[in-house]
Amino acid sequence: MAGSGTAHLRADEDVILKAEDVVVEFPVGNTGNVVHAVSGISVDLRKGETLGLVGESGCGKSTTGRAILQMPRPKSGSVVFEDTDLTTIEREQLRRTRRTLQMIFQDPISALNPRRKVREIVAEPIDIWWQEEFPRSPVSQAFERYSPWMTGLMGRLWDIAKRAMPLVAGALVFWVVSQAVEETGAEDALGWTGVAAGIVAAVAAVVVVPFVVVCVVLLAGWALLGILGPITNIPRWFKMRSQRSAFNEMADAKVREVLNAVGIDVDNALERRPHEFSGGQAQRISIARALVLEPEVIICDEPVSALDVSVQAQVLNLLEDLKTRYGLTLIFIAHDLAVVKNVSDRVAVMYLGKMCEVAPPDTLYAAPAHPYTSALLSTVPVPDPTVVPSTPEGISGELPSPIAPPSGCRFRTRCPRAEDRCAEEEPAMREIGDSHYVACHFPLAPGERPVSDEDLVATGGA
Amino acid sequence: MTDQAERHAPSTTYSGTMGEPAIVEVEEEAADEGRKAKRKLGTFFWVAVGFLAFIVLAALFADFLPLKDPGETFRGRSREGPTGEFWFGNDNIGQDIFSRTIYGARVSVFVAGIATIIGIFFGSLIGLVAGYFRGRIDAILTSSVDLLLAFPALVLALALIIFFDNEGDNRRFWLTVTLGLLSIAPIARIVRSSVIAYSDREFVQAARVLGARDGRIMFKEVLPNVIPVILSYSLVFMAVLVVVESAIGFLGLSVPPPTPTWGDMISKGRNELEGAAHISLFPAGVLFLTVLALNYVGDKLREFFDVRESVI
Amino acid sequence: MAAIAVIVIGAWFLRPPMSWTFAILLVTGVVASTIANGSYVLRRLAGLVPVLMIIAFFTFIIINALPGDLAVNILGPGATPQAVEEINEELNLNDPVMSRFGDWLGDAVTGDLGRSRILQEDVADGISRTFPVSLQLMLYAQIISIGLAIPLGVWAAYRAGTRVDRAINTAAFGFLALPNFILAVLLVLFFALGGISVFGTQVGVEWLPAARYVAFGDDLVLHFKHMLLPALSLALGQVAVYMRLLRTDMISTLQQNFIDLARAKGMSDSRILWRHALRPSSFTLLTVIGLNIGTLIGGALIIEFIFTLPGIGTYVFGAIIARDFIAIQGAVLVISAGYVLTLLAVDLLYTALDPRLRHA
Repeated sequence: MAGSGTAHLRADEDVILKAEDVVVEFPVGNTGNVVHAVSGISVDLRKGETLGLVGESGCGKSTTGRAILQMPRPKSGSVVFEDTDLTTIEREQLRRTRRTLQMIFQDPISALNPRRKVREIVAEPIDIWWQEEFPRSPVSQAFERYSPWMTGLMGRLWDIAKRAMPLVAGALVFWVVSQAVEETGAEDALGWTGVAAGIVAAVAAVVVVPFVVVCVVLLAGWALLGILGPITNIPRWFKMRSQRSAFNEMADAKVREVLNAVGIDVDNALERRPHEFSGGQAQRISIARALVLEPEVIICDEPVSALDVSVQAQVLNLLEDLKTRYGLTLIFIAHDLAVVKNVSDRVAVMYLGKMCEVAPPDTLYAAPAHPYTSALLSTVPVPDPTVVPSTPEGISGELPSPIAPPSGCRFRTRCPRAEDRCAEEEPAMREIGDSHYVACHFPLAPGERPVSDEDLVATGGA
Repeated sequence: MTDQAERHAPSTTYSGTMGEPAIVEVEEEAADEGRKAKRKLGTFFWVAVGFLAFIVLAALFADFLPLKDPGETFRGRSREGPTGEFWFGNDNIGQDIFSRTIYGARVSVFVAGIATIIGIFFGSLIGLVAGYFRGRIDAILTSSVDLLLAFPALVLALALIIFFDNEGDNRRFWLTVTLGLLSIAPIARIVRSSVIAYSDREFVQAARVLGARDGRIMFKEVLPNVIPVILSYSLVFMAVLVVVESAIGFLGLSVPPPTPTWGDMISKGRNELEGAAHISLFPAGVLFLTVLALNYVGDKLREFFDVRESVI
Repeated sequence: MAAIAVIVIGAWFLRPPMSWTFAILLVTGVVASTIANGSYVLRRLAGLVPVLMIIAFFTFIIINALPGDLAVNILGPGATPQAVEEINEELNLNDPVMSRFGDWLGDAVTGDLGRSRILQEDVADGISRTFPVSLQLMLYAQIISIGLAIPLGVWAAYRAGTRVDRAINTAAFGFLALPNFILAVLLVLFFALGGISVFGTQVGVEWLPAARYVAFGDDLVLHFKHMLLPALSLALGQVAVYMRLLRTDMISTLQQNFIDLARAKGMSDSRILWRHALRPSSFTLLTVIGLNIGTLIGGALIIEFIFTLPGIGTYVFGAIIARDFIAIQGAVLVISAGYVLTLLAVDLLYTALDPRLRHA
């Protein structure tokens, strides 16, 4: 599978979000290895469209979703949202942009703070942005502005000081030796140790001491600014307090509106805490919280995977309704192909941090071109008792380690159609039909199965 | 939830409502009831709270209670056991032990209480910052805290008290400050570990997506979840500090006489153990009950808030 | 790295009387874990050097950065200017702080912690005179508490939820709330002074001495008689802590599958408890015991004071009362270093016992 390339991106004006060549890597402890979670994914979104993102667990689909929100920021690539590249803008600007990009999490219960009431949870976003209208004191602004810089610098100095610690230890050992020698009265024999100790100690002092001192001064300054900030904000707090009741009324109306929209019994729910709700209800509350800011794009990270099957359909229908009602654009991440098929306008299939195939759902399901897509589809259960459930056709073995992914096409180690070329050359995205894109050297023709029937018989029909 | 799903499954199959799938979102009533049953505090809890309230109120209003003057020596009553007039008896020079115990609570409870508040305030702040930001800030703060813990606490406390307050004019103040400073490090450790448990949760990420600032996330999302932990540990800490204050008093370095302190009373009574053991035993008993009550209330609160012990 | 360790240990040995305890701690650590992984141990030991240096620095700074004139502090308010000048000369107090720190640390690493003016003896000698007493006390207390806590913990876990369990737990909770100096007073009252009379009946005995220290070499029986009450005062509170820890861990071990398997094979309960469940349940206990040993090195001050044992706690307390700054500096340094080394030793022991941790 798996290829890079941007052939599937569209040039239209309607595209409001475009992520190009996004790469996310996580370090593995102190081993120096990295997990290649996402390696060059490109997606785009038209206004009002739903993009389905599917793949096995561990393929990087959630990471892609989060990378679009810059949580964490991708290592490289760009995410352009309404003409702004989110990967390069400052923290503060990013924070302001985030209100138009929202997210719904997989586990609805843990996405809601257990200690807060539903009223507070849903009103939280409005409250955050209402408070932004009152300017903070200069001290507190300075803290916000310089805090990342200061902590970053502190960290770097700390690292240097830590690396230089062996030097200090060495100096100390020399010192011990010279003192011990002096003590036993044998100075003449080993007079050089004192000199050496002096030199090493001087070097250590020059290297380590300034770093530690600057580090401590920075920490103190940082803490001082952090404590002074809230104190200088007291007048602001009084000003807010005087307008609090008017705001509360406004917020209450808004909270009721969105809770109604997601089908929660408002009067019963407002004063309750998250643990008093079922998973489905909690997910509705999460959705309400995301809606309250009237965002343009919502990234749904497996929003129904944690729910009972009976409730899944309800939540999906709700999302569908809200989409038309609020003019939303959705990225829908899921591992369940059946779920994705019904909600998406376009489906992208991922494997091990790479994109395999992009197509409208009907095309994709009727004629998968990528062997991996085909294999995934064969695992979807068919509601017909006479059909014998099949195992993924031709797929064998485990998902390779994302620490050392296979060369060339990442799917080749499990692909029944793999040939030498697949190991050498990474397939790029190309169009094989009407808005049907695939990254495979040997795509399947419509109706073709990845392995011939004879092969299946040969392998025992597994 | 799983239990419920299993129990419901057969009933929907047999009830035959196949046409319209009756999708009812059942609230987790059973689970909720279970939680309530577990969350009973019990009679002993309220007895302990009552005892602590009594100690604190009596110490606060000792001047207005019909107590004997703690400094007054009653002639001819030296070493006398408990009587109707002197509930805890009299000490070796005839002073009223009951009244001295109540006045002694002033020093212990208030020194320990205020020191705990100092420790909780700074310790929580450090723990919150270290646990929330992680990374190098955490490394710097944690190494400093670990270094502080390497010093022998009681020795350091005694030394600092003697150095800062040689003559004992301001013993109460310096005791409080010293004990407060020494409790910052262990509190910061506990708070940090429980902050870490919460700051990776999805509701924190959700707040970030909504555009909340770090400060707001720390104080509105993380802190409310950590407060129960802090609260229940603060009582246990206060118990430890009550003991430390009494120990310092026992060594003769708490607030100097004529102010009565529990530690000093127990220590003075040691010379009279043969024949008049009550002089030591009554203040010792009250000290024991206070510590027991603080531990018990702290323990119960921890159970109540479902705080896992493993956070240490 | 090996060379560094050898030099450090060697330097300590230049002053044998006070450094033997450290040598023992170091050697235990090294031996315990050369079994595990040699270079790892040395890396950890080298890591201690800056830590110990920072501890020394803070100890020095705390005392030297105090408000007021150090010489006046030492001599008391009525000192003549002449005497102050003499002290300043003698202790080089006119030099800058950093240079004094350098001198002091340089002496300290060779085992010379200065000379106490009040006791008229070297601080190093004072510490090596008192340290063994504290170590004995700590050792006896640990033996008693572990010896009591393990059977109690196992029993409580085995009978979890029954009346036995609840009784043991309640008692443990009570002992947790009993400060050790009160326990010491009670033990003295009931076992040394004959107790109290309740309605005319005497409750208590006069079996044991109330105070004083008898050296191990002087009279073995008397030595243990004198150490029993202080050791018990320290131990009983710890029994409660250890027992509760062991009980919790043991209960969770007993719920695991391999215990069911052992039971299904027909193994006797006692064999399951002692042979199969105890070892995997004792890791938390081990950590806490290690921490306690580290803390007790300086933390038995009040018990030593009550029983007039000439341990390091009594030494440092005397120094504090007499405002003997040089002795305090030295003792705090030794106690902190002992704490850090014990923690390291426990850590290494842990690594030796649990191979999974070796490369983590």
